Amino acid sequence: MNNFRTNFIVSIFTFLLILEFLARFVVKNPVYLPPPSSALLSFVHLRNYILKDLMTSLMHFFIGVGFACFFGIFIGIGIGWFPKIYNAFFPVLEILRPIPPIAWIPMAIIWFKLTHFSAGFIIFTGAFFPVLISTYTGLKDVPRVLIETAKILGAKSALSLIRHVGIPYALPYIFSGIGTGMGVGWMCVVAAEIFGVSDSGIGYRLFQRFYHFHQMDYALVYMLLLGFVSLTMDAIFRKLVIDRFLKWKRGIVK
Amino acid sequence: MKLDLINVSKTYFSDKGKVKALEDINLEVREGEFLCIVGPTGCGKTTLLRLIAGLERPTSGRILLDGKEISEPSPERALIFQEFSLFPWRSVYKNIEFGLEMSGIKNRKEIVDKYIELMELKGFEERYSHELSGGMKQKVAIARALCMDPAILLMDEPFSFLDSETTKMLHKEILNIWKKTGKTIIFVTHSLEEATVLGRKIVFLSQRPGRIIKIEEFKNPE
Repeated sequence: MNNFRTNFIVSIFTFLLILEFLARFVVKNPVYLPPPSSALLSFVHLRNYILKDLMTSLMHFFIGVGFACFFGIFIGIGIGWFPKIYNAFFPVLEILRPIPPIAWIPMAIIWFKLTHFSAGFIIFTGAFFPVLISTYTGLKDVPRVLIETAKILGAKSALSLIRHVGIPYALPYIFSGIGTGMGVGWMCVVAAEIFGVSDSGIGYRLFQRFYHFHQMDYALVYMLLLGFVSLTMDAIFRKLVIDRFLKWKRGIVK
Repeated sequence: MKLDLINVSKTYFSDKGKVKALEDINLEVREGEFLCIVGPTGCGKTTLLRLIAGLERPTSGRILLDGKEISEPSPERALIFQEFSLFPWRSVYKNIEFGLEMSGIKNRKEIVDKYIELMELKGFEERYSHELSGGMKQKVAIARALCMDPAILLMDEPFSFLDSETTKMLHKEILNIWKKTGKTIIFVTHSLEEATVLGRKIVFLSQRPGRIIKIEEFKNPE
């Protein structure tokens, strides 16, 4: 762990140093490549915006990921457990799956107008499929012997089998799907905000302000912010969920 | 409880055609009997157990427990599988508790503790499946089945993935449990040696489709 942390810091610092060198002595044009040092200074100028933009983006993010988890898990369980539901849904889902989230923007504007739900919907289209597919895989992979054991021990209805065997077995799959979904969802935040659902948000600020005024040092700050927030959320998710709920997987997965 | 198999046949249908697994099985198992079913690989002995467990229905013929036709799985006919079947997300204790939980039984701790004692699993209650040896896993599976107080314990080559020392030890334990509880046990194996160690009555099945060749009874075992 310590080794990992040292490595992490060394790697980032080296990267920033190289960037600084390139910006100051090779490119020499802050519009093309702002030096990281001036970007870091810009944090101070941006202090009034950052928190507000972050909160707006997180709200969009959680609307999207929240619905993605709800529908992804719900439908995933359905198609993973019942072949009939699978047959009904799967062709449709396979057609919708390759459509990139950005392609949904016109529909989102028509359906949800310029509201936070419109941004949430774009993030939803990105986060939904990872959650769905891994939930489906988890339920489909339940070994037959476990289902039959549960039946013999008195779990009769499909609902009780799903609750006591299907879901617990699939939980690691579901969580890993949520993790992936969160990653993809966060990548959709900028796309979800460039068409102006709100007058704040990381994507809004990045595109509608910094880009328009060619404030590339500010843009770099927000880009790094996007990376940093995603990393933090992933770490928190791992700590809160994976370590706590998946005790039994320890020694198998890692 | 008395188990009767009357003209039981089982045929599997698939895209490739049909496979006759069992043919005309007639068998009577009395309460408290320790019956071994021996036969070569693929003779349908697992199928026979699955039919008695209610996981599958016979193509023709009838299986009766005390005169009542078997139609679905139930804790009164507990099956111990050949492959390990512990729920990996549940501790040993929680695995044993599973059936009691499903039946909504109240004083579960008392019952679970009794069978943890009987199967000598004390100290392992909080362990998970991946922390247990193969022999321990099967012991937990047996405890889990026994605490539902089944009328019949069905065992499908439960020790075939274990080393011979562990197997010997578990043979002793199974015989002990049989003597202590007086349960009816139907034990399937491909090994005649295992059958003679355990069974007081041995049913020999033929190559597919499985038919009963002969039934041997031992009056004075050991």
